[in-house]
Amino acid sequence: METNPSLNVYNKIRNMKVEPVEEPKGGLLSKTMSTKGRKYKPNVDVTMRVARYVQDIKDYNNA
Amino acid sequence: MRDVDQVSLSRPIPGQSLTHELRARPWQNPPQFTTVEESMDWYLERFDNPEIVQELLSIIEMGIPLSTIANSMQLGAVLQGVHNIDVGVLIIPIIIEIMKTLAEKTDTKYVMGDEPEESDRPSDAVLESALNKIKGMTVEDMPEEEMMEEETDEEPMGLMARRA
Repeated sequence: METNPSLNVYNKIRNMKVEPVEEPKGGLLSKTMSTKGRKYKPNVDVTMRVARYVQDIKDYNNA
Repeated sequence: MRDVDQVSLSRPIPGQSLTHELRARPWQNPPQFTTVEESMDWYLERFDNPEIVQELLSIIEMGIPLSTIANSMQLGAVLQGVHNIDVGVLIIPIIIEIMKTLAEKTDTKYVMGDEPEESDRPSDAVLESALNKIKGMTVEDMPEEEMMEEETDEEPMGLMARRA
């Protein structure tokens, strides 16, 4: 059982499926910016943002 | 139960944290940065400093797990009032990944903190089952001890040898 909370967070975020930043289309009221039917907003969700940073560093390391 | 003699008296007494003015400590004030991005800039400035990186790499080389170092770094920043604990927890994976990259780029051996412990000592479960097995055995089941042959000390034969 994993007992180290820091590693727990790290492993979860590292294995998270990263979604790219969505570019807004057609203004703030468009369907792209709508949050209906979604678990989270990939542009705003802080876990997704952190996962994206981790992925960027990982890609830099593997490059 | 702990022995009374072993109780440490060097600990803070209950309520000691309330003996100073409210907001006198950095972590009791609003944090300097409130987002992960702003706080990361603060960390990146430190990771950009060659002296700090050199020191960090030597700590990593000592075998301290990256998760422990990252946790200490974010906790230090919380105590300095840079960011709050929530932001600190969110920053941990980024710090670990940066340190991992630094270590791999500089060929420094690192420990993540989840490696299985290498020890010759059998696990507690194995010891427990062995003890239970021994407790269940009768005297007849016990293996007979081999008789130890008495070693006869040969008397030294030299001229200068001490006689018994």
